[in-house]
Amino acid sequence: MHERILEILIFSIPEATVIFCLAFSLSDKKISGFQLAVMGVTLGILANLVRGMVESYILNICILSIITIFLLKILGKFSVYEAATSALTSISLYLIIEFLNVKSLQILTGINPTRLGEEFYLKVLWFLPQVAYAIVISCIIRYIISRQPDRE
Amino acid sequence: MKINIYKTSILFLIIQSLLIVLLLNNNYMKRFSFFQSSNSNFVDMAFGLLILVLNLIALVVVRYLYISGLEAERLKLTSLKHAHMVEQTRIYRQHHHDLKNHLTVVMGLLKLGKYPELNDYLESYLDTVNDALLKIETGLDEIDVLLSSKIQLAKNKDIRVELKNVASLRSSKKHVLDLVTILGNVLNNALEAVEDFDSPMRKVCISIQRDPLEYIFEISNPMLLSNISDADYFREGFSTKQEGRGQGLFIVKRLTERLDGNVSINCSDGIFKVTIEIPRHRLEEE
Repeated sequence: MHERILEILIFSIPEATVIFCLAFSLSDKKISGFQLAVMGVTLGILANLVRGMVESYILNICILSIITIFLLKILGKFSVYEAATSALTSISLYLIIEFLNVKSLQILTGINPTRLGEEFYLKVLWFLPQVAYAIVISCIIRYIISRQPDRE
Repeated sequence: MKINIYKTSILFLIIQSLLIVLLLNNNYMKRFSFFQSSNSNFVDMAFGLLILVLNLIALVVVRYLYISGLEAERLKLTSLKHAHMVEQTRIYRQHHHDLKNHLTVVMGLLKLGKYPELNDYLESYLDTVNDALLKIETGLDEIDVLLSSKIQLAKNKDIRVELKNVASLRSSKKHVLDLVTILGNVLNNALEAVEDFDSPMRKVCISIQRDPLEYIFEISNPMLLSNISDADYFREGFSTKQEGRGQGLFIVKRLTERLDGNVSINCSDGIFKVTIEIPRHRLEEE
């Protein structure tokens, strides 16, 4: 149980939070820290629960996408279309960042990624760069979109 | 409910991107037998079918996108034509409004027996009317709009444009854009070439003729004498203007030759004349 809570706090919630950061940057909407925390915690807990119930990676991501769209619509006050496009794009971006991060670390360190399931400390170390990259990319997206002259 | 094709396409593109990333990650995890369900074959099959359906729908979306792109182009053209008509109507109304004043002056000059002044007055008035109420009817909306806008541009720069022998043109939709590019480039060159000259030399002549085999477009403008050979003008990057220019006539030649046509340049008696001959059957073929 403790391990599960630790996993939610260290992995699921930060992961969910950066996905929302990306989604809000993509849709050029402002977000308060409180709103981000509520949405991040909700998605983080739900994602972890779903992951425990669904064995398939693909199904897991599909369910995660639907929950993200729903949360953006309800808590983020997005329109359905806006919620769908920003949620799917942000998840897609996050997943590719995750893939590149793991792949590059695997090449650089020569460590087999299956060890991540066994060594908690190693998993944290491998997880941190992808969160940092996602935050940087989110900031870049916000900067680029804010500089577009025809934004509303 | 009307579907917004642009929004649908954006959503499709995003879903496809997500699916690509999902597939990539899933394959990577499969290699380490990580996060795979016991019935992964069934999930893979369903996933494959979903991608197939999405790809088929994408074909329809792409087709709609293409059609709406064409429609947007047509609307843009109609809007240009409309703007031109509005401007013509405004000028017409203005002339109509001033007509009574002009008739009063004419009557006055007539009563005073000042016939030479009356003649001058009428000539200048008619020139103004002819200049303002220019109506171009080549038979191709795209060319009408192009010529109108270029003539308007010339007027703003105080350049006189003589438009003569406007033959009726016919062209298939697929070649109209090429024709607009050809004429647009040559006209731009001509207008640019004379804008630094003094008033009598600020003049461009446009002629559009048709013989049984070809359409012949001639655009001429005065030039200062030069020793540049005709072949040099068609060289890519050759320009008498600043660096980084000189694509215009090269593009004109390339497009004209693609239509089995011919471009020639004649520089004599201080006149720079570009003649473009395009076979009618090539321009009109569907």
